[in-house]
Amino acid sequence: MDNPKRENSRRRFLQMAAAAAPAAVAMTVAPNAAAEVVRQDAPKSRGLRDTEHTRKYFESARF
Amino acid sequence: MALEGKARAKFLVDAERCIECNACVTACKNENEVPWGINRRRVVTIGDGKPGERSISVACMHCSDAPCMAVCPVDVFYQTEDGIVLHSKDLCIGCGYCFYACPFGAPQFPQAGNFGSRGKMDKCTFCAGGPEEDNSTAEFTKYGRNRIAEGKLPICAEMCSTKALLAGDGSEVADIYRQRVVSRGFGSGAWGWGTAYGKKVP
Repeated sequence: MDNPKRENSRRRFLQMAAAAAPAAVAMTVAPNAAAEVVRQDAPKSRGLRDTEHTRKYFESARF
Repeated sequence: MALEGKARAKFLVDAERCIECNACVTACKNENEVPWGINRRRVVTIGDGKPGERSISVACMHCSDAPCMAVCPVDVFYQTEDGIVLHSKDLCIGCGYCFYACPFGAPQFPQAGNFGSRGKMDKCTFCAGGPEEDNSTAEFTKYGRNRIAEGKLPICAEMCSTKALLAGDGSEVADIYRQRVVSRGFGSGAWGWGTAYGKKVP
């Protein structure tokens, strides 16, 4: 109260912190999220997969 | 979608349907560029030329409890999580024990000869390649095409015109065969063009 200059700087610091925190969180989470998507798309196994191709094959064998 | 080890890779041959055309043998050799003198797959006919003859297409059957794995002195074999039996040609010493142990005669060798002079063993890989990186040149040169990594199934089964040879997840293959048996009845007498090509099993 007795020092308005210090009060302003503190408020500016808090405002900046409030704005910067979500951005920082987004920056740290976004690459992980992208990696997660990539990991889900890539086949986790080298083994058999249920694909359009295999489904067509099984359908062709059902006669 | 990966089946993540829930599948069990199996071949099944419907002897009522095999017409001994050898397309499976040819397709396998062509797709995998198998060396001259090696047959990963072959068609065996029982009672050839006599009434009631039956043919079956035989290759490595990817046994759940594979005897080749049990006898190999240098442990070249491994099973994928889907039960496909693969091996490393880098480790194989060509002893031939696997050939003697296999009930299907699946292991093949490029040369005839005694211990160590036969070369590296070669066999059906269920079109799943080997230990090298998927679809790499090294993998193709040693083991042939890796169709499983491409989300496909063995070329022999996919090429079979009468779909006598089935390949894929064991539960799916068994279900198809069960539907055939239900449709045509037990024995070959109930089988005919109508049941084979006329209508689909509901």
